[in-house]
Amino acid sequence: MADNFKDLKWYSQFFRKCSKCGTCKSAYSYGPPPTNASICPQGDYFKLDSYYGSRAKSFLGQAILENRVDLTDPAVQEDMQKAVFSCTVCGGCQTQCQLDYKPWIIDYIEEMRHNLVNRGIGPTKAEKIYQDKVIKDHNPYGETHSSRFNWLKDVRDLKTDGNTVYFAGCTASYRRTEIAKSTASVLTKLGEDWGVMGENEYCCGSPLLRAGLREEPQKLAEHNVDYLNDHGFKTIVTACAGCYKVLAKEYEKWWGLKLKAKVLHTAEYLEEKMKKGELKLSNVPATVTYHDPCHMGRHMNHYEVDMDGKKQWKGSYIQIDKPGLYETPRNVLKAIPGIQFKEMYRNRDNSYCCGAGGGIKASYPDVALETAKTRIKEAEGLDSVQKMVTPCPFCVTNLGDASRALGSKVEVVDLIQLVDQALKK
Amino acid sequence: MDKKERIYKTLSQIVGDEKWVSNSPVDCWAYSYDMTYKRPQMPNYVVLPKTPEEIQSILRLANAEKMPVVPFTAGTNIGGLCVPEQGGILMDLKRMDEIIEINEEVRFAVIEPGVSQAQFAQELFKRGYRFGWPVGPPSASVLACAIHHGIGGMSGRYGLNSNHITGMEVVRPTGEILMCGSPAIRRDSWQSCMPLPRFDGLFTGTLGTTGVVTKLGVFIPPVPDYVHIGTFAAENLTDMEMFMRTFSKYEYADDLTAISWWLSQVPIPYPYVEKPKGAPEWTGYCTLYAFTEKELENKVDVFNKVIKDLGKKGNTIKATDVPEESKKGRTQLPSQIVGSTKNYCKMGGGGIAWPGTFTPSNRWVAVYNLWKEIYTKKAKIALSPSTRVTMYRGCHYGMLRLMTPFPRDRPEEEANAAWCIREAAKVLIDAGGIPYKPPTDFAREINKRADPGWIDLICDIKDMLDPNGIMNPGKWGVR
Ligand SMILES: Cc1cc2nc3c(=O)[nH]c(=O)nc-3n(C[C@H](O)[C@H](O)[C@H](O)COP(=O)(O)OP(=O)(O)OC[C@H]3O[C@@H](n4cnc5c(N)ncnc54)[C@H](O)[C@@H]3O)c2cc1C
Ligand code: SF4
Ligand code: SF4
Repeated sequence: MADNFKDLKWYSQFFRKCSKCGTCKSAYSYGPPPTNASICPQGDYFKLDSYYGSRAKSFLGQAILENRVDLTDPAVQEDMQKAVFSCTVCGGCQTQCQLDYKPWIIDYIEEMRHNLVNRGIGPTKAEKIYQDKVIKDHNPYGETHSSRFNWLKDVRDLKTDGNTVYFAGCTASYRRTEIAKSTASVLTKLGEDWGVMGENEYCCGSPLLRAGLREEPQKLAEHNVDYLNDHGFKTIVTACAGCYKVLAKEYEKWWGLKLKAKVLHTAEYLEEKMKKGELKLSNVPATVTYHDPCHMGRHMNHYEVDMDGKKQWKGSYIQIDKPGLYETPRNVLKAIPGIQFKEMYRNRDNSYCCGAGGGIKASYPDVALETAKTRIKEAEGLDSVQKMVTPCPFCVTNLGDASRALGSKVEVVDLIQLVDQALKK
Repeated sequence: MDKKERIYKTLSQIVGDEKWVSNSPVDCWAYSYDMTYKRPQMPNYVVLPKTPEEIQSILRLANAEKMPVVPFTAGTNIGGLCVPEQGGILMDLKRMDEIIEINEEVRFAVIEPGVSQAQFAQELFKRGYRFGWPVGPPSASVLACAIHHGIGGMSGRYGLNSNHITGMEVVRPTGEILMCGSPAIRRDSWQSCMPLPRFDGLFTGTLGTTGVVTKLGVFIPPVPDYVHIGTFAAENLTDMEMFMRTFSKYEYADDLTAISWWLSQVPIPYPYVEKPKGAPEWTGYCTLYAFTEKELENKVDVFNKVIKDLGKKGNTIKATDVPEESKKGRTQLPSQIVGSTKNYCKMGGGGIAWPGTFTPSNRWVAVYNLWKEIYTKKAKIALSPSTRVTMYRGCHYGMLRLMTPFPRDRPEEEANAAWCIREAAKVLIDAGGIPYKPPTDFAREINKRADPGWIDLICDIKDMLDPNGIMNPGKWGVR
């Protein structure tokens, strides 16, 4: 099937519009009061301008396209791989940029990766290992496919039909099973007629897409979409920000694969219930803060672009006409009685990445951990915060690792776990 | 070990970790060009020192190897000033980002080169202080701007950012550290460069060719309680200049600026479009700050009176009413809209350069008319004459600047813009204006017209301070 991916040359009409102003290196707002904070995990770690923000990516794209560096030299290949693949693709830089390059930054970085993969300069060794695992076992963790729903055994019998299907995703299925169990528990407590895909749930494809692969994730997408469409589900619910982005946006965007069912992140599902008065939550006394997963926040922003030049000029960025999910998870969290909510300095569009995205957790674990430590320290800076809440198993994993590495008192939990705790049976 | 490897190893030892050094073409490429039309030139090494001591060692190594060193903070100077003319070591100072002191009693701050406008603005505002924020990128260095006579939102009242300098720590090209101003006598006294000889002048406006400034003391005035943004328009620059000249004598405005119609558009139209009939060619604003209501009232009264009096004499200057939002932009600095280049480049596409100049106000009109001719009539592709004038404190002179966007990926159009800018710089220098932070092509034009004694002195000073000519060679066009 044809796809909608564009090549580097196509993206050059936008990345060559980068003015090198460097605004993407930090998050600044005049206010008043003026606020300034670091925003680019990759640049903050490596410091070199070749790593900082979307400005660096514009430099690199030009170098690749115009042969400004010798990409046949193994040493140069190694350096190029590091510069392109150690970015968490978090989009913090994208929030800052004001030029016509802005809407394309995330897709373009991934296209750069694809370009390098085609040249044999990617993926990284670690990515190659997990990619092979996804292709073989449909999950990046090297676990057997047949054990995907082992976690469900503690909760209830396998059921593969119903009004709603819970797309658990690989991380919750194999590594953060407490999140999968909490999601199951919440769906049951709310009286939902729900099932799972069972052995038909394959990795959503996110780990492969993020690393610049195209054909392999397409196979996963086709498989998942075919199954979901054939089985008459009305709603697809996922508790994973990464799966959410892929299911809600990318299957259709890249391959025109339309899901018949409505795709909801659990936070959206819960907010809907809340609005209908169907969410009866009991007291959970805790002081908490909220971490925005990039895949659910910034990455879900929708950009209005004047592609044919009818409003402004060809390719001009006009505005974000639909923001990502910033308020929804906060609304759910704040609805839990007993919760004292404190906002971190960097939040919503200016949230600081957990550090795990874009394949970094596997390929550049130091970058991932140092980034997450910064985020935990930010939460520690808020008076008496006990928990950092986030609706993403991957963020929970990396931030949790950092909290333990720091010996921090801040506990990292998934939003669904708190809701499960607060939901009366 | 070959030379390349040896220098790499030595640099790594100096900065303590290979992480802070690179000789990879991938990294060097990212430092090879900027937003201007300057052709890319790669450095051979990039190094990120953390301390003056590390800088000393790097400079000693560079002298031994006769290798150029280019100081760099954010590379947003709009003049190709950090593009290495002859390769060498690019010294990226962004790791030196400490605000060492904010002294509220004596009203000065001491900062390192990597302190950004945004970082400094945040910290000063918390304490009720401010600085001359340029309308440039928030990520740019306060120090690099100040030592290059940066222009900020207080230039009408307090002068250029270099006028705020109270002291300096510098690593000389040969590696010695020196202090200028009061800290030369007592290390923790950063109140003023006077009454000592102004040796800080050896390191200001010199484009990184005479040493590396590692600490800078700057005067920080308090944020006043009252502000009024006066806005005005005139049909032509003659009338606008007359108003600015008249009003500036009171020294009431922190910022007194006017812009041509093309610059007032967000973004600057690219290529040139006709100004709509009836729209004033020049609009302007002044920021009037005061500590008491009465003081503000007086300033606003004078502002209105000057306009009225000139009106009676047939001047087209008028006070205008503009939306609060656009007024805000005049005090909300460092600016997000301008700093992100949204207003300059969004339509033109990626590239910008300028003849940015200090010019006596009585020549503004003549130069502007020549600029318009070059940009709209002589250019192959007509460009917007997006001009700004800002009156500085002192005498009637100020910024006369022609911001010029162009597409980076269309060589012919880039060349067209470069031609226009160079021609504009020539007529400007001939008229007595002087480009600031001058790119090498402007420096050559300046030197051609310069007094020989002045050139001799620059050469002598350069030879004395930098006998091996390692510091950002080529930038002043004299060595
Ligand atoms: C959109 C836009 C608007 C702007 N508006 C203004 C404005 O209103 N007013 C204004 O003044 N400027 C303005 N500028 C120019 C620019 O932002 C300033 O000159 C800025 O301060 C430069 O800082 P930088 O960190 O980018 O310096 P760089 O470009 O990195 O360096 C500038 C020069 O300083 C030298 N240098 C750097 N650090 C040191 C050091 N420690 N010791 C010795 N030499 C050093 C470099 O070698 C180079 O020659 C604007 C720029 C842009 C892009
Ligand atoms: S990516 Fe955007 S914000 Fe960053 S330097 Fe380029 S134009 Fe400026
Ligand atoms: S996507 Fe994130 S990590 Fe990558 S350059 Fe942008 S801000 Fe930095």
